[in-house]
Amino acid sequence: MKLETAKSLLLIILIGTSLVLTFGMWNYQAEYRPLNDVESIDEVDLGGEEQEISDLVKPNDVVFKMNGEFSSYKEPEDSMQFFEDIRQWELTDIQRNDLEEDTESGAEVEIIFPTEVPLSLFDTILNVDSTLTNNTNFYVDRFSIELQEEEEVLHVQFVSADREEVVEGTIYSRTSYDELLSIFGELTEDEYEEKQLLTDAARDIYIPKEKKALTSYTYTFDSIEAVDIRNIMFSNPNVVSVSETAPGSIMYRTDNRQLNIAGYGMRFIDVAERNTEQVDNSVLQQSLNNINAHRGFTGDYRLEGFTEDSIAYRMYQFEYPVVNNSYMDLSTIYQEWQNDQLSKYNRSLVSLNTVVNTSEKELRSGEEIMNSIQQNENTADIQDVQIAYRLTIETDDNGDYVLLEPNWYQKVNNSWSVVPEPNTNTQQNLEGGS
Amino acid sequence: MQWSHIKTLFILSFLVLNIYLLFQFIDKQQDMDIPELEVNDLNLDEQLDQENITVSADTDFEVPELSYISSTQKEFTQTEIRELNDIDDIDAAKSVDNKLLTVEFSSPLEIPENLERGDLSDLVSPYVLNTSEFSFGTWNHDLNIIVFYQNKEGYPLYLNQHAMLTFYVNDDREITHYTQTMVGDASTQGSTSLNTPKIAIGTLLQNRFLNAEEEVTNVTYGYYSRIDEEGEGTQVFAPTYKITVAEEDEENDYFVNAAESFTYPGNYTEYFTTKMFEENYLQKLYSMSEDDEEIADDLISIIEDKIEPYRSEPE
Repeated sequence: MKLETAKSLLLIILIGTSLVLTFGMWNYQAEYRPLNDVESIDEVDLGGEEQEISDLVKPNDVVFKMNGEFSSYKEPEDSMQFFEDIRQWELTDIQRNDLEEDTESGAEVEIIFPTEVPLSLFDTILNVDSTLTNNTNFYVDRFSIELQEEEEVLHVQFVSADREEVVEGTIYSRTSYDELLSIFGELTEDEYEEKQLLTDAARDIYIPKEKKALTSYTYTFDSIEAVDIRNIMFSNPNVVSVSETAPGSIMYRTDNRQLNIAGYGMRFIDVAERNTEQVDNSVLQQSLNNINAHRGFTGDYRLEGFTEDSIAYRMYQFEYPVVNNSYMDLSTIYQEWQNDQLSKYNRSLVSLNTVVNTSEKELRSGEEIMNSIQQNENTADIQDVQIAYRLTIETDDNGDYVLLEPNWYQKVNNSWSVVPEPNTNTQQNLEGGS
Repeated sequence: MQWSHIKTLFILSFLVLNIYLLFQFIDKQQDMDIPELEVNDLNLDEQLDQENITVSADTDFEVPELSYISSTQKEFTQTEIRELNDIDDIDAAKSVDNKLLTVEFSSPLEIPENLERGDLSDLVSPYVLNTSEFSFGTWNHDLNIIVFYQNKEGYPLYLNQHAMLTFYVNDDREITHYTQTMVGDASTQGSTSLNTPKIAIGTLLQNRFLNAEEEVTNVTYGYYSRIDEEGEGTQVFAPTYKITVAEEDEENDYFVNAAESFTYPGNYTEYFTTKMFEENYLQKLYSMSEDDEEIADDLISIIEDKIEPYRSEPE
């Protein structure tokens, strides 16, 4: 009997210890002191969406060409929807050729992007069965899809920016063919508009002929807290000095980093010199990882342009670019990278909220725009002509608002400005350059 | 009887389970425990030995608890200018923004040959305000200027154009002018644990600023700020080791951040020429010169002569 009681006791103890051990294993967390006695910082993010390359590289024009005439969807949303369709089309038989002389083509659609990007990016944007190119110096700013009526297939062409090489492919899908064919049959309908080609510019630009009226919007907006930005940009906020350099302008500084926040924008520099292992990442990939890490795409930002060590993204609203052009540019995100380290980061801290007011605004007709551009001396430098929203901060008794006003903009030297009024014209109702 | 058998069986199986769990638990504990981040001094010594690098500098000194400090620039007052002008043999003036003090010796001050460093400050101290706050920094022979760094919390602010006493020496070893900038009272910005001087030397080695057959001749502690553009208020100074590396006859200084290990080679001539003179002092002197300040005119021509060979090509 004695033995039995001891065994029961032993069993209970064993069950108990096994429970304790199991529980302990689930909950065990190593206790360690943070390396620097930093006040612990909650992971901060800016609340934007995580973005992929295909979210950032989107066309800003889709032009249907037939018999020397050009047309587009009236609504850029429709163009974007059509591009989303194209992304699904299966592109096969990819091959690379030298560019031959332009042959007169029947019906084709040209998809135009705001900036030149390496062709290799399209591997992730489009549905391809093999890589488009291994050549990292193959840049494109557009591609075309041509209807081949005899074989009933679609022929896709990427012409390199230096116009030396071409990568071609074929879409065999019958549904894709029919979709494009039916669009070409209905180009005279209401949802399409005629366009004209602006020649002599830095690249082919298509401008709608008709006059348009667009809506101006007044938005309430959220602004990212200065402290949140500080916690992202400084690894040890403990040693950061803060000063107010001017009313409403906050300067955070350490010996090698500086963050200035003013007027809903920020400018950050890091001058530390690090000897880091070089990673073989493009600036695009690095900056994408960096911004995603703090969920920094707080709106519809798209790739505006990049160089070997810098990159810019521009805010879009309703598929139109947004332009601000102030010292703290509230419509862009800009980064510079040196030795794989972020050395400069300028960005908008504005994220648009709800519309509180709208008004119609009539824009100049394409005819007027063409005239005024062709009067210009710098026509050859014009990289793009688009309708864009000008972003301004308006203040009333209830606080600050964002006003988005549509206007015709031209891009020269990578910066956007309002297309000037033609000299002969004495209209004076609009703003000059901004 | 059967119940007793079952109990035995249970006891055995729980015993096995417990042993298994215990091993798992210990395993997990070892995985999770973050190893002490300790750079092995012994290892470094071996490495230095292998590369035949000698460390003749004292690396065992104590560093202060307070680490990061910040300060804004001091503006010189009219009273101070008057005070200086009362001293015989010198004329003083200040820049329009009151941040740069310029002084001219009416008869150049000769620097005796074989002068010890300590004597140099004795030599100039009768002519300088707040000399006690400054200590000898470097004698740059490219530009032939002698530079003193301002001290804060008992340690020098290395190579900072806003906290510097600069003597302009002519070809006859005579001081003709000096300029002075200062920062005001320092406030402690925050502290963090600092690396030892040994670890800083290890950083130099890793970054290949320190190479085989070289010698570490001097290690000192002070403050250094990489961002010293003006006009934006407060400067933050990081705790920094200045490490002197000698390679045969040539000596190079490196500034190694004591908290984060960032390393900056001390490119003195380039710093003086571009950042200090071209972008700052000369600009201020030009505007003084517009106000017909004679000292400024003289100093401009002296500085321009000195930096002429070292100016970077305009892009």
